[in-house]
Amino acid sequence: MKQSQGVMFLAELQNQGLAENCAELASAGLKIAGQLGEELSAVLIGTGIAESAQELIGLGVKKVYVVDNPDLTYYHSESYLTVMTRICQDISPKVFLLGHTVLGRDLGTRLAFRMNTGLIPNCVDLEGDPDTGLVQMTRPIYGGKAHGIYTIESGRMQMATVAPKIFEPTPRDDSRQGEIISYTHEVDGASLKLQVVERFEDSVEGVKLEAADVIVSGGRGVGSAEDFEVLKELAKLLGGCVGASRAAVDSGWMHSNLQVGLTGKLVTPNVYIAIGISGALQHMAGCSRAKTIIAINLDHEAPIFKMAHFGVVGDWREILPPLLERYRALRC
Amino acid sequence: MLTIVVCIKQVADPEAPISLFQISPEGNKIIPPPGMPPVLSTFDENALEAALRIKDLQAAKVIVLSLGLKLAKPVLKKTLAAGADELIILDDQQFERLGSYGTALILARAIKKIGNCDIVLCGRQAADTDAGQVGLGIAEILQIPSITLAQKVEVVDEKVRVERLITDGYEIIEAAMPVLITTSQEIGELRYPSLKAIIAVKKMGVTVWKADDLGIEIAPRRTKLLKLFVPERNTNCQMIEGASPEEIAEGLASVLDTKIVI
Repeated sequence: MKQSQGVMFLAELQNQGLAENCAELASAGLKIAGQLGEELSAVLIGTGIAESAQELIGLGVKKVYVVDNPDLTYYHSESYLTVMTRICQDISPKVFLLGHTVLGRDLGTRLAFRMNTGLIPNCVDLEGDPDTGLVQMTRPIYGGKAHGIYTIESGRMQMATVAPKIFEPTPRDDSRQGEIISYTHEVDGASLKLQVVERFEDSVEGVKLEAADVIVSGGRGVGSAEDFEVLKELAKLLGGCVGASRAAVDSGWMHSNLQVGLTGKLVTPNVYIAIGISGALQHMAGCSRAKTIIAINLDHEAPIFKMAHFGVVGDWREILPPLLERYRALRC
Repeated sequence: MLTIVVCIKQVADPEAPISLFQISPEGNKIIPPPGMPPVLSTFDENALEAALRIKDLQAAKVIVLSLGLKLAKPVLKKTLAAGADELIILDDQQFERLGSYGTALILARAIKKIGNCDIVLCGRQAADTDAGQVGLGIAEILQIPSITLAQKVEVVDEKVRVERLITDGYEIIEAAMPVLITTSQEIGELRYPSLKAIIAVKKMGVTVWKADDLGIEIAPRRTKLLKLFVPERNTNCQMIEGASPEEIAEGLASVLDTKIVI
């Protein structure tokens, strides 16, 4: 059997370019590769991706395996699984990382089972141990109430999906050198059991919420569906999405797609603005991984102030209008 | 008639107060909150709802499969009251700390034992461990295709038609059966059972299968838990104050300016 070596990650594409999380994955990969004394490589699947491959080298990747095939333009669980299985068998990396994204979760998990190994999802920390060659992987569990540190059993490919916005993105440096290795793979269309019939974009806000950088979220204290329009405008001005607590969803003000919490979406924005949200455990489980939480609430004893980084005790109806005014002016 | 198997996990109530959240002294599991009955993982309830919606429209038998240790039958009987036809419990002393692979292996074996299953449904992830692996593992072991994050599932002309959530929207996937589907909460909450149904299922029998009934040996874990701990949280909230709403808005904006690039 081939000696396994190297740290590899799957680079995802977005709007014909590298997805935003690639620089974070490169950063996580470089860290582990450094600790284990290994080289960092990446896999890129799609079509018309030569430029993206070059960008990966700028992110510190030494070898980029490129599978350029129009049949692989869009993610298809079976065809991507087949090509990734081949690559993992050929390259036999010690560590293989994917983003904790819709694609990464689907592909990574099934790939782990196919490769007879395990995968730790949604990792918020990765530490390579040079003595054992194992990576200690930390992930939130029980709705974020606890963290668990795991390793993959020795001798198996160590797989993880990496939580978004944890690792500081690696700055791109185009003077870096690396190798681009083209990988030929034919998709046997007749063998596919799933058929993607149609794709609809921009229609589901819920998933966007999970990827949003800024979220303006409202609870019972917002008051009505009409009042949520104000929150929506702020979200739009800040380049983010609007979310809601279960109380707001149960009141029928917002669609359940946009519910943040234990029974809704688990979100990880840079900034989470919680308006009229008391901060029940159910809700905080969904947003506690936000980098900065800003709470606006009438009740100075609301539990949200125990979790927030910045707080305002007051009526959002008075505070938001001048704030909106300021950002509207910036837009002009 | 379609045979639909729904895998449902029983979990410690995730909404139990945080003051009752406790990690065992060995740091390797949580201690269920005392005095609070377990619940069905809400994501798996979504999967059952998807199965019942198929059954609303055509002849189908819905079988609920639940794997665990010392499972509470009354809790699981909620699935029968909501409209499932049969409940099979996989409960054995050996079913402790199985991990995703061990769990998927046993569930896959049980699905084979049931036989002729057309659709396997699971929630997107368990409401306690949040891993989202078992469903895909079952599909891999049974060598059937898998579709994750379904927001709608229909059966049309001997095929499943699934709306699958993707980052920027959704896609429609069609597949021949058998197929495994994991559901997202967008599919909708589990319907409320009627009082009549709740009473009726109390008398209904439940099938229990042990490891021996499945002729299976427990697979060793492929991942090792080193430690569970409660993460530290910086709870130092900096209050933004001002004499007027405008001043407060100014204060908020200066915080936002350091955090967001517009």
